[in-house]
Parts: sequence; C-alpha cells; structure tokens
Amino acid sequence: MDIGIGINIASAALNQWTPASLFSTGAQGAWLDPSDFSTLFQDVAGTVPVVADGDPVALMLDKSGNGNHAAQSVAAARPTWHTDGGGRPYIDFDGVDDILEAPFAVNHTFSTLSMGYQGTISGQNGGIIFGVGIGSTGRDYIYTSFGNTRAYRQPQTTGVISSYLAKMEVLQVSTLRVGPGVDYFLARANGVDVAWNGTGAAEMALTGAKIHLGARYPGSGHTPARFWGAFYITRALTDVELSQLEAFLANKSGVTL
Amino acid sequence: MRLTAAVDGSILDDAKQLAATLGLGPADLDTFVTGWQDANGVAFNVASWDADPMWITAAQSTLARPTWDTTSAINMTGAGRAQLALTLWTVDMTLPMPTALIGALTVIGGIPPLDALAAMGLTQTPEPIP
Repeated sequence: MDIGIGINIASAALNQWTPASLFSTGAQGAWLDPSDFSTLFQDVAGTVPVVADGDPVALMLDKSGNGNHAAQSVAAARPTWHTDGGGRPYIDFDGVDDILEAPFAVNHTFSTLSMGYQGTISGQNGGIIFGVGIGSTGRDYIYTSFGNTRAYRQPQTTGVISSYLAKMEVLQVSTLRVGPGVDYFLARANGVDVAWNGTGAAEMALTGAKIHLGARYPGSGHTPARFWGAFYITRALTDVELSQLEAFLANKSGVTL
Repeated sequence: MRLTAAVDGSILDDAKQLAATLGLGPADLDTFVTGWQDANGVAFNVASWDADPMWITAAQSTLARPTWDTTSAINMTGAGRAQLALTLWTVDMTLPMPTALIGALTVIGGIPPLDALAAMGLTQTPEPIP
C-alpha cells in the first residue's frame, strides 16, 4: 500500500508546517526534540541546561504541550547529548542502563509513533527503542529483535501484532500508525510502507503506563541507539500528516526519504 | 572517561551505597540494573556512565558522606565494603581486563560499555518480545 503522498509535496509544505499542529486537536502524547536546547537539562529539576557534546540528559521537556516530560533521576542511567557529522543533535543511549521515562496513563485506542533513529550495535531480542508500556508489558512500541527494528501493538482484537521495519543499524525514520478502518496497522520505514494489517484495534488501558525511550523499563530491554527525535500521538495521523511528520524527522536525522 | 560496572547480588546493596556516596543525590541508590549474566548463569547488575576523573580518585580515597545526604540515607559501612571489593581497570593499564566475579565490584574504564561487559564475561539475559 502506498499512501500516495509525494515527498516533494510534504517538503514544500514543511515551511509552513510545525509538528505542534499534530497536537492542536487536543491529542495526548509527547514530542521529544534533541535539537531544542531549551528543552534539555542535566538535572531533573531543570536548572542546569545541556550545553556541550557529551552532557548527560536528565530531563527532556515534552514540546507537545501535554507535559509528558521524559526524565531520569539516576545519574548513571542518563543518556548523553551529541551532534553527528552533519551537525545534527542526537541523544545517545548506551544499551546498558540508560532510559528516559514519562508517566503516561492515558487510555486510548488509536495512535501514531514516529522517530528518527539508528542502532549503534545490533540489539538483542526484545530491546525497546521507543513506545508505551506497563512494566514488562508492551502496548505500542518500536523495538528490536535479532538486529531488526520492529513495530508492535497490543491489544488488538486478535492479540498482538508485530511487523519488521528495517535493519536496526540503518539510519531510519520508523513509524507505526494504528487507526480505524481497513489497514488499521501501518508500519513504515523511511517513508515506505512496510506492512499493514486489516484487523481492528482495541482500547488500551494504560493505568501505570509510561512512555519509554531507550529501554523497556529500568533493567530490561536497554538498546544501544541514537535518537534525533521522537513523537507519540494518541490519534491516527492522516496520510498527509504522516508524510509531513516523516519529512520533519528525516530532516532532523539526515535520512533521505 | 566512560566507566562500566558490574556486581552480583551478594554485594549489590553495598555497591549501591558506594554509587550514591560518589553520586549526585539519593536517586543514585538505585544505580545498577538487572539483565546480565556470567557463563554460569549467575545474574549480574550493571551500570555505565561518563565519569569525571575525580570520580576515579574519589572511589579510591577515604569515603565521606556527601553533603546532600542530610538524612543519612547512605549506609557508609556498606559503601566501605563495596570500596574494598572494587576492582578498577582503565584503558591505560597494561594488566588484562578483569572478569566479573562473585563478591567483586568490577569497573572497566575507557572502552565502549557493551565491549566492557563482554570483556567481563557477561552476556545479556535473554528477553521476551515486548
């Protein structure tokens, strides 16, 4: 399935478009942006800004307006901020103990996850890159399995659904969209549809859930990876919005769509 | 310098006390996460962080309760035991890298964290899918 929106159209519209519009209808979620110094701090109190390559990131403010700020109180478990060869800022997770978390007890049925990302070492089965879960139980995730990046959703009407996205070490903009109707589960890698499924989504009860970046939870599924940006939105984006968001993340991460 | 540490359950609590003594606040009592094992299947807890050179000096000096610990949350006796169990190797040393041993707090400095854990003889405990 091709969503049929040319990237040139999305690029042309990018000048007027901002990801904040994705949340303007009241959607919950988070927008985490390593390129915005005003949102990055070395302490959870938000008093010491990130200013230099290698600085630890203890607090990453959510730019969606929902206040779902990602934080890490344990000093050793904080990822670090860097820039890549193209000067693009990213956050590096060491795959040992680093993780950022934000409480996210928001029940919902439809969702969109998208991120600019690259694994630095092939991950083990079950490593979590980005998503929402309750303890060891996944709900919406982009995760790793034997060196591959995969999209995952639970619940749906027929149980868990999971799809291959790309090799983990590929610089990628990976997307999972769960929406109503036909082809409700759509997995995309670097602007290309990889897989979809026609069965229905069910509401996710998320009492006690958190947004996780870099691991499943402290001590499980830590993934060595670099992040140029991540979005979680509690609605299914339209095809046009999806292209706009992926073009935005591609620009942040140096991906050619 | 990037430091990577591993400790088994027998001295895990003491190692946490030491991490907090050398750390930034009470949350550092939660340093070390699960998920690793040695060749015999013994579970190890691990941590990795970019350390100031002063951390290495402080880890090998007389320990003092940090000024932020006004409630005596840290068990300084335990921190002292962990310090005695500390085996520290850095990349400038000519000695072979240490393996993770039961009852030891093993710290390797100056190489990527996952390489350090592999050198210690540790592998990730298999994880289920999410």
